Amino acid sequence: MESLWLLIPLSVLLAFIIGALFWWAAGAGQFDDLTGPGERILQDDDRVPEAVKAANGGANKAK
Amino acid sequence: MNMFNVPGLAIGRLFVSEGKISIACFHCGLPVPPNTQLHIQFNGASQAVCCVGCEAVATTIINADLSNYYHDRSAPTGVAGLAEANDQLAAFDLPAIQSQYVRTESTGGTQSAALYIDGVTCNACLWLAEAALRRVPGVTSADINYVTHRAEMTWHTNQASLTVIVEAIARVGLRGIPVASGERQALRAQSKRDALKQLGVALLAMMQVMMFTVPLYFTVSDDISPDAQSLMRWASLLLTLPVVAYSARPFWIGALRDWQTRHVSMDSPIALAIAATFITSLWSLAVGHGALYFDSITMFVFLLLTSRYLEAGIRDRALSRIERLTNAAPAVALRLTGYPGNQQISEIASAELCTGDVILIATGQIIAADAILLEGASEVDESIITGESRAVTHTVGAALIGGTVNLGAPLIARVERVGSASTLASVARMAERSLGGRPQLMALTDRIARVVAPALIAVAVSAGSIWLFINSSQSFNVAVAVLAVTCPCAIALAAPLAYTSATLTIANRGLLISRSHVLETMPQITDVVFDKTGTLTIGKLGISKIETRHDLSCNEALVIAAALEAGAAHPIAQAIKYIVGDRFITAATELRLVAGGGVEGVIDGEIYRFGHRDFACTNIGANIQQHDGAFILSRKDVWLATFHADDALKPDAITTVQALQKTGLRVHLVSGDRAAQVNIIAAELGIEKGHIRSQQTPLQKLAYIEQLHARGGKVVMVGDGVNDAPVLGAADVSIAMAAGADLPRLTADAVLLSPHLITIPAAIELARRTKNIIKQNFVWAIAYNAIGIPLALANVINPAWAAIGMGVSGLVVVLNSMRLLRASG
Repeated sequence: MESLWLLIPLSVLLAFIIGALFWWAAGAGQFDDLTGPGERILQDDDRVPEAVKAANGGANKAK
Repeated sequence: MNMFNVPGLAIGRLFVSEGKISIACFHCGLPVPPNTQLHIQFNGASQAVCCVGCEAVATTIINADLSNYYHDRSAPTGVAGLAEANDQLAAFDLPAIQSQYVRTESTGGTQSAALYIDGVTCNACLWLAEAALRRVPGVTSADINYVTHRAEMTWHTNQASLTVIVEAIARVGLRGIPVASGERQALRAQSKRDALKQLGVALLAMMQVMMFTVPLYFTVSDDISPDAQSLMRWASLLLTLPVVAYSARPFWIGALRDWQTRHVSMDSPIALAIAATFITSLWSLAVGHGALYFDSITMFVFLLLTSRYLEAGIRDRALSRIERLTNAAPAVALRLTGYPGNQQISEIASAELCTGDVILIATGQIIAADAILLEGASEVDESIITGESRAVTHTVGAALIGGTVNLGAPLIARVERVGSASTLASVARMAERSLGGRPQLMALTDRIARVVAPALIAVAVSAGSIWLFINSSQSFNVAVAVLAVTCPCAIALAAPLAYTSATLTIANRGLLISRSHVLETMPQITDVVFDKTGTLTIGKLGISKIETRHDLSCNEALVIAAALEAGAAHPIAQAIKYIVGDRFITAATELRLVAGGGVEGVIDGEIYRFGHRDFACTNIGANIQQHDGAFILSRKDVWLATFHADDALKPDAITTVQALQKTGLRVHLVSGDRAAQVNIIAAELGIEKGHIRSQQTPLQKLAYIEQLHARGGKVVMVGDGVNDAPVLGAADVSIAMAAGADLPRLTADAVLLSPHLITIPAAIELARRTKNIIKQNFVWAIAYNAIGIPLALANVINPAWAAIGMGVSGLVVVLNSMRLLRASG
C-alpha cells in the first residue's frame, strides 16, 4: 500500500496538468472548429509542386 | 441526341429531369442548355459546362492547380456568377468601407478582416476558398471555420487589399461577404470558450474525485490504511478547489447579482447548495470525521454546466442565423447618376443609398437594397430570405430584394427601400424576435425562479430548524439535501427550451414564428383556412387564350386592354403588361376602377370596359356563356374579346392540403375570386364543397372565421398578409405568405418565407411534438421533485445523492428538448 503515497499525489498532479492543458487549448480556440482540420487533411494537395520536385529530383532518385 | 457525340467527352455526367435527359454542367451540375457548346479541359478530357460563368470559374480553378476540388466535393456548386466587372470591386477600398470592415493591426504593417463565405454547398468549397485566399500575394494567414463558414484573414497592407481578396474568392465561383468586425461576435465566441473551459475542468475534477471517493465508499475494514484514506480525502479537496473557485463561477456571479438586485434567480439556491456542502466537507475534513461531499459537488457543477452549455448552443445557433441576415447586404453599390440620360457609374457605400437612386447590379453581385427592376431580366438567388435554393427569374417591374444575389445578366433598378425599412432588415428583426427570444425565455424562467427559488430556501431552512428538534446532528444535512435535491431548473426550463428548439427547427424550414403563442396554439387547431390567390396559387395570372370578335385582332384587343389597365395593380393588369411590354401604348382617359368589376375608360371618344362579365358586358352573346371566370373587353356594352387567364396552383398545394386532411384537420378555401375559378381549384385540391366560399369581401371572410369559432373551432388562416390583414388578425394563428418585397408590411403571427406550403403541415406536426415533449418535461420535473423533496425532508437521501439527482434531472429536460432540433421524425 506504500505505492499509494506516490500514486495519489502523482494522479493529482497529472489531473492538474491535463486540466491546464485543456484550459489552454479551449482558450486558444482549438475546439472552435471540430470539422475543418479533419477535412483539410483529406483535401489538401499532397502532390509535390513541380519546382520542389525539380530541386529534389536528384536526391529522390538516389534513394 | 447529338449531344452525346461531343468529341472527347469522356465521362457521361447526366442530368435527368422530368423524364428528359441532358448533360449536367461540369461545374454547377445544372443541365446544359441544348444549344450551348462550351467546354473546358479537365484531366485531359473535354467537359461540358452550362454558361460562360461556369466556364470562367472552372478554368480558374483548374489553371490555379486547385482541380482537387472536383475530386473532393460531395455536391455540385451553385451557378457561378461571373464577376466580369472587376472595377466595381475596387469600391471595397472606399474609406467608409475600410473603416467598417478592416482592422489595422498594430504590428508588422498588416491588416485583417473577416469574411463570410457564401455559396458553399459542401466542405470542398471551403477548402477551395481557403486555397484561393492563401494564394493571394501578401496574404499572411487565411483560416476558414468549417462550422460557421467564417474566414479570418491577415495581409500585408502594401501588398494586398480587401478588394483583391474578395475578387480572388469570386474567381473560384464563391462569394466573400465582408463581416463588420462586431464586438458582439467576439464576446460570444469568448463566452463560449469560457463555458467550455469551465465544463472541461469540472469534468476532469469529477472523474478524478470519483477515483478517490469510490474506494472509500466500499472500504470494508482496513483495506486501505487510515493514513492513505486521509490522503485521498485531501487529494479530493485539492481537486474540488478549482471546480468551486473556477467552474462554479457562473453560479457565484449569478448569486452575487441576485444579492445586489434583491431578486432571486435560479443561481442563488445552487450557489447556496455548493457553498454549504463545500463548507461542511471542509469542516469534516478538518475535524477528521463527518460526511464529505467533494464528489457530489463536482458532479453537481458538471451536470449543471452541461445543461447550460447545451442550452447556450441552441441559442447560439439561433443568433448566428440572425447575424447571417444582418450581414447579407453588400457593402458597396454602383449608382447610376443621370439615368436614363447619360449613365455615369459611381461607387458608393450601400449605407449612403437613398430611395429613388438608380443602381446597377452586375452579374454575381448582391443587390444592395430593395429595388424595382427597370432594365434587364435575370435569375436571382433569393435563398437567404426564402431558404429555397432554386433561382427566381425577374423581369422588368419586378421587386428585387436587397441581400439576394443576381446570378444572370446585369440589371438596372430603382431603389425603393433602404436601411431599417428594407426587407432584409425586417426579416432580421422578425428573426430576432422569433429566435433571439432571450427576453421571452428569460421572462418565463425568471417568473418561475422568482417564486420557486425563495420558497426553496425557506423550505430548506425550516426543514433544518425542525430537524434541530428531531436530531440536531442531522439538521444541517437535511437542509443541504433539500437545497440540492430540488430541481427548479427542470421545471423552469421544461417549456422555454422546447419552444426555442422548435422555433429554430421550423425557422430553418422557412417559417418564421414571430409571436410566442403560435407553437402553443397550433396543436389545438381544427380548421385551416386558405386564401386562394398568392397562397395556394402562384399569384401570377398568365393569359392562356384570347378570343376576339372577327373584326379585331388579338394584338388590338391586348393594346386596348393594356391602355385600360395602365394604372391598375390587379394580377390581370400585370399579365397583360407582361405580354404587351412598353410597345404600342394607347392612352385611355377618364379611367375609372370599379371594385369587384373591372375598369372603364375612354379611348378615341368611345367607352370601353374591361373586367368580369357582369360588369363589362350585360348582353353577351349566347355562344360565350361558358366564360364565367374570364375577363371580357367591351365597347359600349358590346362584346369585343374574352381573355382567359389561369393562375397555376403551387406545386405542393395538393400534397399540403392532403397532408393537413390526413391529420384530421378541416381545410377551407375562402377567396375573393369568382365561384367558377374557386370551384375548379377546390376540386383539384380535394376540398369539400361545404368548405368553399367564393366572392368574399374581407368582411365576409372575417365573418366566416367567426362562424368557425362559434362552432368551437380553432383556426389557422393562411393568407397573403397585406390585403388579408384584418382577417388574419381574427384567426387563432395567422400565417402570411411572404411574397417578396411586401415583407415589411406583413402583420401576422408567423411568416412563411419559403415557397413551400408543405412547411405548414410540418409546423403543425412539430408543434404537436413540442407539446408532447413539454408535457414529458413537466411530468418528469414534477415527479422528480415530488419524490425527491419528501425523501430529503425525511433525511432518507444524503446531500451527495441529492446533488446528483438534481443535475441529472436538469440534463434530462435539456436533452429531451433538444430532440426537437432534429428536423424530421
